[in-house]
Amino acid sequence: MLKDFTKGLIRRNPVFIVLVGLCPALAVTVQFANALVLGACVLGALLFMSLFVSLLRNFIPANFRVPAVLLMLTALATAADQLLKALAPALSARLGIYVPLIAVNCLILGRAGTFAFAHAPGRSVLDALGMGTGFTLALGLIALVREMVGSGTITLLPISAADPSAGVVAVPGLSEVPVAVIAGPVGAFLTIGFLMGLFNALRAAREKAKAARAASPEAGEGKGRAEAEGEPEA
Amino acid sequence: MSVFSIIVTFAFTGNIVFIQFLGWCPLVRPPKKMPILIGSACAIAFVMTCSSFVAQVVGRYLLVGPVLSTFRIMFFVLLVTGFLYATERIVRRFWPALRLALGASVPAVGANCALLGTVFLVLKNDFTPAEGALAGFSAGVGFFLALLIMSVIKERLDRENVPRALRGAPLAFITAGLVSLVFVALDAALLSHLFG
Repeated sequence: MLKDFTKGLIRRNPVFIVLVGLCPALAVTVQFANALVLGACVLGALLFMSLFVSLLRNFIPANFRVPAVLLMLTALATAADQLLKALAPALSARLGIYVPLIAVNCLILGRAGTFAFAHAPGRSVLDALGMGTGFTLALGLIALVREMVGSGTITLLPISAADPSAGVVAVPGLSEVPVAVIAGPVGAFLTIGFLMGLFNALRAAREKAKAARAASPEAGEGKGRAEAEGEPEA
Repeated sequence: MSVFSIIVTFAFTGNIVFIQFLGWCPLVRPPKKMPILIGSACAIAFVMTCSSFVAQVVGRYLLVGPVLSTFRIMFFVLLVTGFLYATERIVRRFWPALRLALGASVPAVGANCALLGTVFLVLKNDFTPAEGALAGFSAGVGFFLALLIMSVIKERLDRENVPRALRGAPLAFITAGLVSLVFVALDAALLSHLFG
């Protein structure tokens, strides 16, 4: 049960390992706060989607799965869009088309189509929470790297429209000479590419340690554990 | 906006793939065979043109006001999916191999964020329906360019010795980053300077 939640965080991270939900991960990660807000929107939509789909899974005929899922998700995306417009108009304007695009988010469609249609509501909700948190963490990580290097700041919540400098932390040493290109599209692609590479390398190292442990149970155990502890991401 | 600036904006300076970051699901593994690539890009450009035209009419004249505009997202998703489904039926009849290429990623294509994103991006401008169709077509051209560039570069890179951790998607994104430099450099000021 607990694995349904934890697998989405690192081992099956939606952005870095499963490669879904890449459009928002590239687009809204110029500022840390933007990434967190969009991550929260996706998490909320995914949570409700998984709950509804797994509750209704025995009542939706197989032929109507795709239209049913699309319609439910558009309703949730509309709700997210309207809520954000009402609560935080400035943020909503900055996130632009990427909030309405939750309606075709491949992470949500994928989880609803594969996991929620096959599992009970409890496990589906845990899976949604894990995957949504993993997505938000991934977006936060990309945004942190991009904003720190690209603008030399970290924008924290809450952002007020009246005073844009409130909640913005300047990184000493970087805010004087930011690498502006990282804040642009180039930085988005490069950051996500290299972070994916890092995740792949970590995964390979962990699998190697596991294989070594399995090959020699007595001698390999201590070594494998030490290696696993050496990885900050694991 | 003039015809020229619409084409340049939607195909180059606001390229949906490299600047707006849409449509990455098919681009991580672009089609290898050139006819399939051209065929699928044409199908997508066709859907973009039609749906942008209809969305421009409906979004501008029908779904307006605080209540009706709430239904925009739902309508546009249905519109894009409907056009895509129709195109798929036509293609299935005349070119079964292409249907396999499109059909391999039915959930991704069936809800392709590039298509819906184009509709939203076009609607943000105050276009007439004809200008909307042109903008949708230009976005399709931009998508074709991106597909072509990524496919050709990937074919060459597959023969190189790349560090194991960077093979596949990471390398595709690093490549895309370097290509997007070109699209960033092609900004509106430069083009208006060159072409007046």
